[in-house]
Amino acid sequence: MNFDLNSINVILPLLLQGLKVTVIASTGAVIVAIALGLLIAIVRRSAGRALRLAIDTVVTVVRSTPLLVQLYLLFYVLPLYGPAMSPMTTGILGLGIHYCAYLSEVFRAGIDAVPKGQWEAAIALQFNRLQTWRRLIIPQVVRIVLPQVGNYFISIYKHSSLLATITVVEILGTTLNYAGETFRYFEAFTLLGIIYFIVGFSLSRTVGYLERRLA
Amino acid sequence: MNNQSTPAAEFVDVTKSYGTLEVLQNLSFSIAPAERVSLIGPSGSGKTTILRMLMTLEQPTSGDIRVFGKPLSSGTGPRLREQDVRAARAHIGMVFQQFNLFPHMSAIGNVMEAPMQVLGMAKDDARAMAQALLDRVGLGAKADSYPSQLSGGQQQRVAIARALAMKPQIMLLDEITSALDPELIGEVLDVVHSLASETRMAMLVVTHEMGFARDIADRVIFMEKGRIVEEGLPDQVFEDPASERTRSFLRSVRR
Ligand SMILES: Nc1ncnc2c1ncn2[C@@H]1O[C@H](COP(=O)(O)OP(=O)(O)O)[C@@H](O)[C@H]1O
Ligand SMILES: [Mg+2]
Repeated sequence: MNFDLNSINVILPLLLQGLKVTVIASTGAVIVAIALGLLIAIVRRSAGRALRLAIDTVVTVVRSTPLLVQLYLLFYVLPLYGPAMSPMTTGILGLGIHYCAYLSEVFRAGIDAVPKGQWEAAIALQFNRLQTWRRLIIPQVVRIVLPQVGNYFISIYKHSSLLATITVVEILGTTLNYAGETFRYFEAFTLLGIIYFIVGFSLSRTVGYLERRLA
Repeated sequence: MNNQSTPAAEFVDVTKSYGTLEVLQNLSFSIAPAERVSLIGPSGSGKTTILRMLMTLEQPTSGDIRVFGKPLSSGTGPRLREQDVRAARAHIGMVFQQFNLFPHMSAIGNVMEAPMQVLGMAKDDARAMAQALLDRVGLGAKADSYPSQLSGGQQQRVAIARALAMKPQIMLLDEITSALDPELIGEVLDVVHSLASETRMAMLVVTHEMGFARDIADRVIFMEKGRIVEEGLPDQVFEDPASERTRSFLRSVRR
């Protein structure tokens, strides 16, 4: 089988369109994961024993089951009992919830890494709890966890390909559709791999750069 | 002391225990407004614990602490309302041994933050005040430096300016030169001396610098094992201590 160079002219614009969906889904998911992960880490700190146990149980369950199964549950089972969401919304939520379980641990460690003296200085300067979190603790936690969050973003970006299975036409879905119709699997998947690599490699270089800068 | 005026801070029969370890035993003393008190004594005698309880970083196991007559902590009485504690605490500022500057803010940012966030001061006003305070501690030119770019002595002077920005009436200084290289101690103590002469804040000073403890104070308290052994005028405590334990402590630190 020969690589048909001319087909690139057709495939590339299609894949770039799919890449846009991939980027939107990954970005949405990382925002959900950061927001939920931070919330879990903060609530867990001041929670009583029962709430803490409940949070830890949910986090453990989410971490110990496959993302694909979670996506299927959200997409095929949840609508039977609750609201039906668009594939894209389901995908962003599913990815976000899956990864918030990991990010909550990252944030917890980040919060623990802020020296006790920072909290004490906040009290000595009359800050209330909200001001302390917002102005003093979270900005320091962000600096501590940024490289790790960046690495999880790369994971999310790669795992967003699973959204193809719940009918989101992201870059993998686009490729499957195109190849299914034209049987140009060789060209389509080669190009897909190259694009995944270029974007993923750039992301990991960016994370590495951030890591060095914040060190 | 004048019994008619309300003390700036008052400990009434305060005991503090960690588990079975009794760190402070039935401690009672007070500080008058604008009074400067040096707290000296061997390591582990409970000096830091006193300051931390005044800053509400620790709670007494029993007894009461009052600030300008208002309850700050009560080890045995009814639970105090959060807003009352905050109101009492607002009179107090503290400078820590380890500076505890906010590493993600510049020097002037450190000083401006609390007035803006807590007091709601406008940014321009806060900046002007912070700049004046940094000038006062001799760091006007370092306003935009970050803590990691400053020497220990400079960081501690920023921390002093930061505490001053909240206009406390009682300033707590806990071994503020202990983390510094010897050549940087002088610049920090000079700043505290000039504050003492220019302001009317009460000061409670814990230090191992005996010359400083003596010069800054109106009154010196010597503690050992969680109790006040002796207190008096600086000249009296340092020249002619009443207790043999004070005498031997002073001998040991002067060697
Ligand atoms: N959080 C704590 N838990 C247990 N013991 C403590 C704690 N904080 C202080 N202590 C003990 O309390 C005693 C008094 O400590 P501290 O007030 O720091 O003394 P000083 O400042 O005079 O050196 C020491 O024996 C110290 O080990
Ligand atoms: Mg101490």
